Amino acid sequence: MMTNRPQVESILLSDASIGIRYRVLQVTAKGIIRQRMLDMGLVPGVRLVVIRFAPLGDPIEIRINRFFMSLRKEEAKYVFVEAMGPCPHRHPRRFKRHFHGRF
Amino acid sequence: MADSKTIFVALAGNPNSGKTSIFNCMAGANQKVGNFSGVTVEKVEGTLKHKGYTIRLVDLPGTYSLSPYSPEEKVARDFILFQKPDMVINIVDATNLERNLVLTTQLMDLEVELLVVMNMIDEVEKQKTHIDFEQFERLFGAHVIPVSAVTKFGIPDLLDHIVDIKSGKIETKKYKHHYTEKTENYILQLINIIKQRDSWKGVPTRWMAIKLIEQDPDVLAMIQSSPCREAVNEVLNSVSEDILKFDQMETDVYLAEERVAFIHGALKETVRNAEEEAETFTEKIDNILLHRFFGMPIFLLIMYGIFQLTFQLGEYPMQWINSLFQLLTQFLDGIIPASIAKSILLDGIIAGVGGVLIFLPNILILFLCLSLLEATGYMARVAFVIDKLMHRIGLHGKSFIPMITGFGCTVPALMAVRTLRNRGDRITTMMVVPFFSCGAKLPVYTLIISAFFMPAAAGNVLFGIYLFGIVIALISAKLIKSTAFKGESEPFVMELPPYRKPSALIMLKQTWMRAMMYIKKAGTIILLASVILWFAVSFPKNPEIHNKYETLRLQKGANIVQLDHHEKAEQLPYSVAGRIGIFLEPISRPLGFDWRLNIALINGLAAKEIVVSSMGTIFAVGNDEGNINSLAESLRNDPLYSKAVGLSFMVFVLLYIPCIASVAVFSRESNSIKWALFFVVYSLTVAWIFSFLVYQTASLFGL
Repeated sequence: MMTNRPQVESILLSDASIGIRYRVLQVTAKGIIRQRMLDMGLVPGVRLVVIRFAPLGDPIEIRINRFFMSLRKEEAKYVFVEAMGPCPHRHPRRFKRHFHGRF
Repeated sequence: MADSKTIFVALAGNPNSGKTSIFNCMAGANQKVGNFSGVTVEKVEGTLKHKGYTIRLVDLPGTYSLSPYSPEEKVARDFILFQKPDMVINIVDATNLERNLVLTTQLMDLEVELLVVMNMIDEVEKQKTHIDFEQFERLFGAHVIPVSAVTKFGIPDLLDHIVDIKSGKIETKKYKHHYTEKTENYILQLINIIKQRDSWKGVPTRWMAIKLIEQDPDVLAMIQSSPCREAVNEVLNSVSEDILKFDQMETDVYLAEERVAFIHGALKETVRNAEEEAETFTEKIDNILLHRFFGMPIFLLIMYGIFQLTFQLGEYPMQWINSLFQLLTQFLDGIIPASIAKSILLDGIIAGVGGVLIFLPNILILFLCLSLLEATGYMARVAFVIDKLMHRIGLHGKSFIPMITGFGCTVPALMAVRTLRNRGDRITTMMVVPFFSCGAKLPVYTLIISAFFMPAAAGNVLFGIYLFGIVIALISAKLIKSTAFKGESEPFVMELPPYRKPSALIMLKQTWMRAMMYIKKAGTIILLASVILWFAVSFPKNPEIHNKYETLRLQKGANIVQLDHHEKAEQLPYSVAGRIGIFLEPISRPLGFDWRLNIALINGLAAKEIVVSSMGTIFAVGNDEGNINSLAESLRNDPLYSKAVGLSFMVFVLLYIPCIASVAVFSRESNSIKWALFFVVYSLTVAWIFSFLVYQTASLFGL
């Protein structure tokens, strides 16, 4: 079904890195999570930047346009994004891996 | 319909759009708080007069959209659809139009008389952003009024507009939000089908058609019982097939994308921004407050601060209230002749009123702190920081605050649950809050520990009890959430609002209104229950014992106070409470409790502090502070009691119903007698089971 979409490097938002700009490709969440995402303007085509992870490693904070929102990693798994390069005002940070599911 | 001089206005807008501030600017002090019928969503109404018109304002709950997925959104949407306000004022945060306008496009779909109020216009000017209002009005077909709730700029203009629209001086264009041609075609097809069949209670058919394409469950349900069902389904099938095939998305995502694209395009035409992606002030603060190392300690410090403020600072006014009531009792004691009426007044009613008011300092301080967190924007960060842990037991980060508040007092903790959006989360959190051992239970533990344990072990036993409560709470939360509210998890997809300077006036007002609500609703139940409990402990009396003490009292040099104590103790088994205590012995015996401990526990329903003083009465040592030691001694020397009984008693006190006040507040906050009853049954059952296990195990080890 997804064959006629041009091939791009699509990753899950839950695997995204801090300080990189992404473009939303697809939202596969269901029910209320999906509704909230759509209400917040998290729709295909929108650009976002991952700002930070919570001190315990989850949830994630992202920036869309001029506002900040948060979502859990398990919710971010329902969002496919493609990387658009580093965000000019933020330094890409590499420490993220250390936090993966650790507490 | 209301008369022509009354204008019925609903206020809609995103959370954090400053809706409440604007409402306050408009309505002033003329406000009334209630609930929307059938749900625990707060409804604030206000009225004002302007240019000979009466404007009736209803503040709808803050929502991001009008989907049927949360009670707030459903309330807002049903209100607009079925109460049919004369106009809807949509308050948008001008500094964040991309997201705020999503709701605006949905309101346009509802074809209401729409007035868009752009709040925080002063901040926009500071950011050197320029908004072309004329072009904006052309695109959205609604009048736009720039205002600032902070500087009060634009409020008179807004009021003028409301009146002018009503009087027909201005006509709004009521533009429809146009979707793509493909979508519009399908919308038209659907309108043609459904408008033939029914009047749909005046619900706009265009809106219905759009919602049908989005697969909105409520509107689908409306159609299900109609004969046009099949024709509608046929169109819907071809829409979803079409959109899936050519755009690779589901219909609701497709429409949401269309809205966002429309807004994006409109803003390109109307707004000239300064630099977009620079770090904002909020981001800079969050770099510290949400720092990966310091974020957690800062968070804990803030929580600790709130806890200390609420319960340490609250301690002083509580003492004043306490001594005030003591003075009042002493005063009335002196001037009213002894009678049953006097006893009802002093020990029943005045004690009951005192029992209601004593919580007020805690509630006021806690709610002031909570509205400060909410108003500054840190509340969302609280949830952000702690969500990972709370999510493990199926709850949302926001449940953390009510839980730790439970260590102070269950009543304000239950009220703090209001900050949660999801009903399942609210009920679950309320069910487990009482297991976080409240301050009033501490004297009971102290008494029991000093009676049965070595001083060296005291700290460990106490710590063990608190820890045990937490464990039970966490297990219960997991259990309730995964059974009664299975799959009903509140998503964490939420805004982290920008930090703002809070408005002291709004905070004070909110706190005051909540406190009044507590006094009015919970207060009456607490008062009534205290009086009933007083009757149960005092009546009926055995006349023989009474006569015996009457003659003793008449003897020369009799110690009246001591005789009164002894009579009370001897009369107890004959009172209703005493009889219940004796009646309950068969089920309390496996826990090691005799009828005397049962009475103490029944008394504890009024408040846990009373357990100790009522034991003083039961064991006839008086209930002064100084007698704690002699009370501990009589417990220790009683052949019926042992370490095992002590442990079992502490566990029971920890887990059973905290107090009548908490049940009253539970029932009010959950808006469900059924859940309040379940709360009572559940805590009693859990208490019985664990006391049983503790007593039997401890006895086995010969404690």
